[in-house]
Order: sequence, then structure tokens, then C-alpha cells
Amino acid sequence: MEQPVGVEPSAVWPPRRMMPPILRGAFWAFIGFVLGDLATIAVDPFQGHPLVTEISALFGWAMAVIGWVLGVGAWEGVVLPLAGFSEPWAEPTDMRRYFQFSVDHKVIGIQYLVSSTATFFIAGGLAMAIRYELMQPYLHFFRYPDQYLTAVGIHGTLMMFSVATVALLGGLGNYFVPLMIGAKGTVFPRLSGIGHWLVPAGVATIILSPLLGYWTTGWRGYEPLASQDPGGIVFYYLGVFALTLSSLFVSLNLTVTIIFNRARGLTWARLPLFAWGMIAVSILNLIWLPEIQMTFVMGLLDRLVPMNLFNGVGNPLSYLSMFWLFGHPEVYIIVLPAFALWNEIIPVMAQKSLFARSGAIIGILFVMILSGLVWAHHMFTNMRYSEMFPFSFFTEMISIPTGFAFMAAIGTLWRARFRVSTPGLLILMSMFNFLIGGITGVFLADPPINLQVHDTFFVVAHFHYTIIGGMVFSWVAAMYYWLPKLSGRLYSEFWGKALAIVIFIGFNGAFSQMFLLGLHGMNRWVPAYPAYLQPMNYEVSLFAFLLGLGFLGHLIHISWAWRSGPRSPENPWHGRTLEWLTASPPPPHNFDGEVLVRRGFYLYDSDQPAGVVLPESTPDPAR
Amino acid sequence: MTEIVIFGLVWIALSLAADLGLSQIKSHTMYFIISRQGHLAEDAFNFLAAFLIPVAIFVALFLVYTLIRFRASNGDAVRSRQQTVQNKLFVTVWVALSFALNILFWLHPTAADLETMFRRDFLANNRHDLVVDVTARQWEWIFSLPQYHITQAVNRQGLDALTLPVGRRVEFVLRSYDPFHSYDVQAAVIHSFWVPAFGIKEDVVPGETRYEFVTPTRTASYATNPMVRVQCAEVCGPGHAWMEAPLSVVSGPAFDAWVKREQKRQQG
Amino acid sequence: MHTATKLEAYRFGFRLFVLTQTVPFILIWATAYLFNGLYVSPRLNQWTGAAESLALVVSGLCATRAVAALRQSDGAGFLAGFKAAMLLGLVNLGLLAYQWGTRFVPVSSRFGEIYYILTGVSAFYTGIGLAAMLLAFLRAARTGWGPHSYWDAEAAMTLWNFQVLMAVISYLIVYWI
Repeated sequence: MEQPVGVEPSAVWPPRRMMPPILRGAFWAFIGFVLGDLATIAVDPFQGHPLVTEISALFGWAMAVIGWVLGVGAWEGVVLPLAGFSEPWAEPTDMRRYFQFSVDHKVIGIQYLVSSTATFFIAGGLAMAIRYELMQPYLHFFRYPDQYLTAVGIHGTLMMFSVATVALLGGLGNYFVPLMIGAKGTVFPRLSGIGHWLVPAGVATIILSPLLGYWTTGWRGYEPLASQDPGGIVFYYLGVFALTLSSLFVSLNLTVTIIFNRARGLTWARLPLFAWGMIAVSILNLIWLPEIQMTFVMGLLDRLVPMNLFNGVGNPLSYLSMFWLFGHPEVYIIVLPAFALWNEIIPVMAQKSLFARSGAIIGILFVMILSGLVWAHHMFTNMRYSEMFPFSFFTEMISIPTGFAFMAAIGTLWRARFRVSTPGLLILMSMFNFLIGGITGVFLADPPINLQVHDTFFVVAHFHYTIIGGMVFSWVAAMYYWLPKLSGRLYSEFWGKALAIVIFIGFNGAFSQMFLLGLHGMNRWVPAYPAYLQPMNYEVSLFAFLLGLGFLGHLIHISWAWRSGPRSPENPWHGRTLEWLTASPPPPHNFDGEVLVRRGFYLYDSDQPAGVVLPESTPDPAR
Repeated sequence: MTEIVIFGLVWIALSLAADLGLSQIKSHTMYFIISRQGHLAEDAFNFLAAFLIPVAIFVALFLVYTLIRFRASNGDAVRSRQQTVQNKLFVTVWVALSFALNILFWLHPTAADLETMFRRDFLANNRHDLVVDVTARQWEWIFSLPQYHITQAVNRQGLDALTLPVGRRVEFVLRSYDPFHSYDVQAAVIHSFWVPAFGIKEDVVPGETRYEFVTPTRTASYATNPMVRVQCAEVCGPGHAWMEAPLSVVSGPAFDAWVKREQKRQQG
Repeated sequence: MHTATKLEAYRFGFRLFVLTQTVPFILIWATAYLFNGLYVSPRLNQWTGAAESLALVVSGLCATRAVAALRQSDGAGFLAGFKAAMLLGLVNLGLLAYQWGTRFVPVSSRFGEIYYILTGVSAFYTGIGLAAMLLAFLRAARTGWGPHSYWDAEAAMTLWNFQVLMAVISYLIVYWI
């Protein structure tokens, strides 16, 4: 719903006296909540309830989110122009632009990165609390078991919906995809702009959910337990709704941007791998995020009306199926960008042509396709054996296209002269971690084994290996790789590598032992467990604390380098993708001219650059 | 060529050593398994591991090998001398092997084991089973043995506990509801019936009755190995962690004695 | 980027968005089949439902014709067409509100659950579609649109026609199949 005729931005900021956007957003959100809540209470047929009921909280929340998004700037940036008013709205050029609604994809990207990093450390802090609790076989840190389960649920929900799905897509995707395809912007900048501000809203909703009562379901919200839980589960549904909406907006924007805004000469055959990863993820998001949203709406209705969709007289298993229909593609939503990053960074570090490029892309696309056919392997404990056949088949088959990412990476590394820089090292570590996650996935695909290790720490270890090991390690690698582009500054190789080794040891020390714990009979979602499991749990916790410290170290190091690291050369890695053709950090319009792509980005057989920036005058032939 | 030979030899040596190590511990890979079903899972686990260990070592070794043999001596960007973008042989072998392995895994152990499990479930094969009615409520396992008129098996402390005879097929009948409560559609949630030492779990879903067949293969008890316990594996609310019950697998005569004790206890 | 390419991108993006919004409907339809099979409650009044759907179909035609008029620089025709479309949309919501008000299907019944979810979600999208048309209407009334700036009107029309299609399919599923 964009208007092709842009409103001339005036140079005046602020246009008139107003509160700082974030404050105004919070204020409008508060007003929205009060209005929505009171309006619901006013028409509530069951008078005499407290001032905030689950139903009134629902409407209050909806109004609060609208108030928040409008307040941070969508009112001037989206609503007024759509209604035909031309509000003089110009983005400030200093730090303040990061604290309000923006239409610059680079600003949005950094906003997303900051939000998801902050959430990563909040949810990571919860993980530390969980590990501290599990150092003893009885309840000693958390006061109530449902408090522990809420911590587990918030940890999982935040990590999945506002870190793992968001950091690479909303953060790096928004920032780098337009640069990598030589575009001056995205097609729907306002959509991404709104998208970002839904993240703090969703995160706050989930963090505040205990206000309505501890919920015990973990991040999956299994029915019928969810209907039985206290009201916090309502905020779980709503928070996830806001966060998935955010990813949906970004996916839509990036897909259309990749299709329509590519530079001249950037054919599909030359599209950067990271863009391929992003488009694959976006398609998965576009299909499955509306699915989970509707599932959660049904869950809400089931609870609030109430209905009997998913309890004993309805069909609890249909909720499970609906959840995992989304839930399994979600795993690949998280990890496909990581696959793309491996093969994006490895050729640069090796200065060697990417091996079997089409294989790497086909791998990404086939994983994308197959990911919709495997969901029921999360429910082997609910299935007739005949139903297990197809799902174990597709689950095992999905390892084949996954292997293509390894094949391309290995082919590229073979007899290369690989620069073991911090990003290079982290990518190799990420490949190792994902290898373990993938191999243990083959065990899980076999139903008889699955029936033993399902719902145990074996599974916990498996998916942390794929998500932290695959996605988070690649994310950290990409942060170091692109830091010179984001900030124009370099980091310290010593500290980068030292901290990489710290997180590698912490991670593997913690999660490899969880496989053994699972095989030894440690089940999930427990704040207390039989005492024979304590020694290993104690060790796991120590390694987990090391991992937490390591991530904190990376945060401090990257923040330091971002602000005051040594100046970086224009193209420190000698990368050939288009983002290196412009200044660091890039100017508002990305490129001082028009980008022309001449050859593939992953060919290092000659010194000829892959793309050039031409002066603006060259006419643009219709595509 | 020398690179390939060196890499290949190291890989084969490491894989052989690792598989040899696996064969030493293969009766303990799932720690403590005492049921036919569990042994099926453990055998499958070992079978897959024997193949997957070389695969894992191949990639892991390659990453280490890269760090040693393929690293740039200094940090400068120098174009690699070798610029291969395609190698039909390598790709073909990779793809063919990954297909072969996955199809093998699906046929064996997956399909073969499912056949076995499926066959064990046929009622015709299960005529003289010991029937154990298992009721999962929040948060308790209630065991009753209708053939012996035991409505709720408990131990001396009055806590739910179950004793099974070794070598006899057991039919667990799994239901989730609260027998101490008038029927309420909201009052039952999904539990998961799991005996770690039996190597199998089954979700217990409100509104459904499910069956699970297990044959214990040796005597053991919660006191000798804590994996011999009934444990809820699916989160079912605040009491989930404590939803467990000790289990004993005993000889036939000992089981009969236990039945007598339980019957006596029931009569007060 | 050329304005033509830009428009093409907007159009593609918007249609893609609309396509994603079929997913929630498909999920409810699947749930309806799962829970009810082909059962239709005998308490339903087929004719009220038919009137609701008819209002929407005619409304969709009005909106389409309105955008066509806009392409022919007929600003007044556009405003009239959208006004008619919005009125018919409100008629649809009014009829639905009447039906809900009579509670002729109990919420607690298996059929009632699906009926209320499906019609409720459909009404929600109808509301969104009406809001989008209203925005376009207000803006066109304020600034006067011509053949070169009809994208917002077209977007509102696309969304509206999508919702008409979803509502009609939902009608068939609830009332007939």
C-alpha cells in the first residue's frame, strides 16, 4: 500500500514539538491498553470481574500495540500519508533515527540487530537461571515449579521468535540484501519499518506474560495444557503473534525486493547465496507464519470463548499437528540463512571460487521444500506405526539437500589457502556444530530410537546444536565479517578468536553432555530430577556459564570495535559481492551511481571485479 | 593426489578406531535397557552410529585438516591457485552415497524395525498378556491390574509403584483423566508414559485409549537402577517433574508374592 | 527504478501478501473438515447466508468497476463505486451480526465452533478490507485521483476481492458442503 509519489521530505526535524518517539510510543501504548481494556470491561456481560480480565487484556493489548507502532512514528510515516495528508516527516540523521520508525533499510537492519541481540541476552540470562536451577536435583533457585516452566517457556519463545527467526532475516537481511543486490532501497520500506517496532512489542508482551500468571507449556503451547494454564499463556499467544507478524512483513519486503530491485546484470544465476537463503526463508515464512498465527488465534478462542477444539472432547493432536506444521519449517527458517552464510564467507576467506554453487542453492531450495513434509516426526509418540513410515522417510531424506551445503563448503575449502580469521574460524565451528546436530537428527528420524530419546535432553541437545551451533555461530561470524561494512572499523583478531574458542568450548562442553543425559533418562521441562543425573548436570551448567560469558565477551568486543576499533580498509576481506563496492558505512542511497554486475561473485579465477558502479546517467533499460 | 591419500588414510584410521570403540560399548549406548522393544532401539542406534561415525569424522576431520593444511600462512588475501568450481566425480559420489545411506537407513533399521514393532502389536500375538491399566492424572501414575483385581498398586508408603514379572509380555492400557474428579473436559492434559529402561514412550492423550506392548528381559528395580522408573515425559503442568513412579521387574514367583501382598493391602 | 517497474513490484508484493492470507482460511477449512466432515447444521438458514454472500459478490463487482472507472479518469465514478462497495460490505457485516445475535447455533457445539471461528475470521478480514477501502476513498476524495495514481485504490480492491472470494468459499463450506 505504498504511494509511488513520495512525499518531499523537509529538512526540518522535528517537524513540530513532540515527545521522543519511543516515549510517545510507550505513552500511546499505555493509553491504548487502558482504552481497550476499559472498553471491553464496559461491554463485558460479566460485570464484577477485576479491572483486567484475560479478554480485556486481549483487546487492551491489541490497542497497545497499535498505539506503540503509531507512536514510534508510523502515524506520521504511514497512516497520515495513506489517508492523504502530507505530514512533513524527515528522518533525523544522527543517533535519534535508530530510536524511531524508519524507512531506511540500513537503519531498520541495525534496529533489528539491536533488538534481537538484546532479546538474545535476556533469553540467554533465563537460560543461565535454568542451568543454575539444574545444578541441584531439587527446586532451590526458582520458588515454584511453574516459575521454572515459565522461564523455560519465555527462554524458548524469545529465542525462537525474536532471535533465531529475526536476527539473520530482519537484521542482516534488511541491512545487506539490498546492498548485495545493488539496490538503493527496498520495495516496501514502511512495511519493514513497522516490522521492527513489532519486535519490542512482542518481546515485552512475552516478558510481561507472568503478570497474568505463570504458564507451563514451554514454547510450543501444547493444548490442552494451555487452556488449563493461568492467563500468562494469553500473552504468549499475543507476543508470538506480534513477532511472527514482524517476520512476515520483512519476508514480504525482502522477497519482492530481491525479485524487482536487482541491479543490472544481476541475473538469477548470479544472485548472491545470502540472497538465496533469504528468499528461501522468506517463502517459508510467508507460507507458515500465517498458519501458526491462525493456530494461535484458535488456541486463544478455544481458551477465551471457551470452545472444545483441542481438549479431551475435541482433538488435542490436531493442535500438535498444526503447531509442528509451522514448527518444523521454523527450524529451517532459522538455519537456512546459516547455510547461505557459510558459502558466502568461505570463498571470500579462501579467495577461491565457490565449488558447486548450483548444488549449494539446490540444497537450500530442496530443504525449503522438504521442510513442509516432515512435521509429524515431532509426534512419533502419538502415531500408529504405519503413519511413521512417510515421515521418517522424508525426515531422513532432508539430510541429503542439507549435505549439499557441506559439499559446497568442503569442495571450496579443498586445497584452498583459507584465511583463518575470526569469521572464518567461526564458520568452521558452525559447520562442526551443525554436523553434530544433523548427525543426531538422523538418529531421531528413526522411530524406535525416537521413542526412547523423544522429550529427553537428547532432543534438547540436538536442537541447540542446530540452532546455537548452526545459526548463532554463523550470526556471530557474520557480525565479524560485516563489521567493517557496518561501522567502517575493525575488531581485534586476538580477542575475536579467543572468544570464538571460548564459546566453542562452552557450547560443546555443555550440549554434548546433554546427549548423554538424555540417553541416561533425563526428561525435559523438569526443575527437579532423580539424583543420579546430578553430576553431569552440574558440569553442563558450568560449561553453560562459560558459554554465556563468551557471548557476553563477544558483545562487549563487537560493541567496542563498532565504536572505537581501528579504521578498516574499504574492502578488508577482498570480497566481491556488491556491498563492498560502496563506502563503509554505506551512504543513505547505498551506491553513488548505478550498479552493473558483470560476472558471478564467487569466481576468483581472475582479478576482474564482479560488479562496478557506473555514473548515474546511464539509461536504465526496461527489464 | 597426496592430499587425498593422506586425508583418506587418516579418515579410515580414525573411523576404524571409532567404530572399534563403539563395538566395545555397544551394549551400553543407551545405558541400561531391559526390554525387547528397547533392544530394538539400541540395536538401531548402534547400527546407525556405525555408519554415521565415519560420516561425522569425515567432515570434522576435514575441518581440522583445513585448519592445518589449507590455511593461509599469513592473513593476506591471495587468490588460491586452484579454482575448481565443479568436480563431477566428487559430486556424483557425494550425492550417490548420501542417497544410498539414507535409503539404507530407511529400509534398515527404520522400516524393518517398524515391521517388527507392528507385528508385536497384533492382538493375535498378545493373548496371554499381563494387562496393566495405566491412568495418568495430574500428577500421578495410577496402575491397576484387572486380571488380579488390583485397583491401585502401591508400595509400603502408599505411593504408586508397579512390579512386573520378567519375560512376560505386558499390555499397558494408557488413559489420561482424573478418576478422583467428576468428569471435566478441562481437567486432563497430555502426558507421556515412559520407562527409560524399556526404551519406549507413548503419549497419553485425553480422550484416547492407547496400548503399548513391552516384554521385560531381565530383573531390575528402581533401587538398583533409577532408569527403571515410570516417568512422565511430556510437560503436564507444575507437577510434571514429580510425576514418576518406581518400577520393579522381578521373577515369576516374586511377582506372585507381590500380587498377594497387593491384594491383601487392598482388602485393608 | 521506473514507476512502471515500481508499480509492478507493488502489485506483485501485494498479491503475494494476499496469497499468504489464504493460509489461515485453508487452515480453518481443513479444521472444519477434520471436526465436522461434511456435516451441516439443520438450524442454518441457507438464505440468510446466501444474502450475505450475494452482498459481498456485488460489492466486489462494484469495487472492481470503481477502479476501472479510475483508470478512465472518472474520479466521481470511482468514489461512487467504492461507496456502494463499502455499503454492501456493511450490509454483509450487519446480516452476520444479526445471525450471531440470534445464537441459532450454540457456540459449544462442534459445528458452532467452526461456524463462529470461520465467520468471525471472515468478518475480521471484511473489516480490514473496509478500512482499506475507506482510506483509499478518503484520500481520493481529498486529493482527487487520476489514471496515474490508482495504486492504493487497486490495492484496496485486490484485498476486497480476495476477501469476497474467501467469504464465498467459506459460505459454501459452512452452508452446503
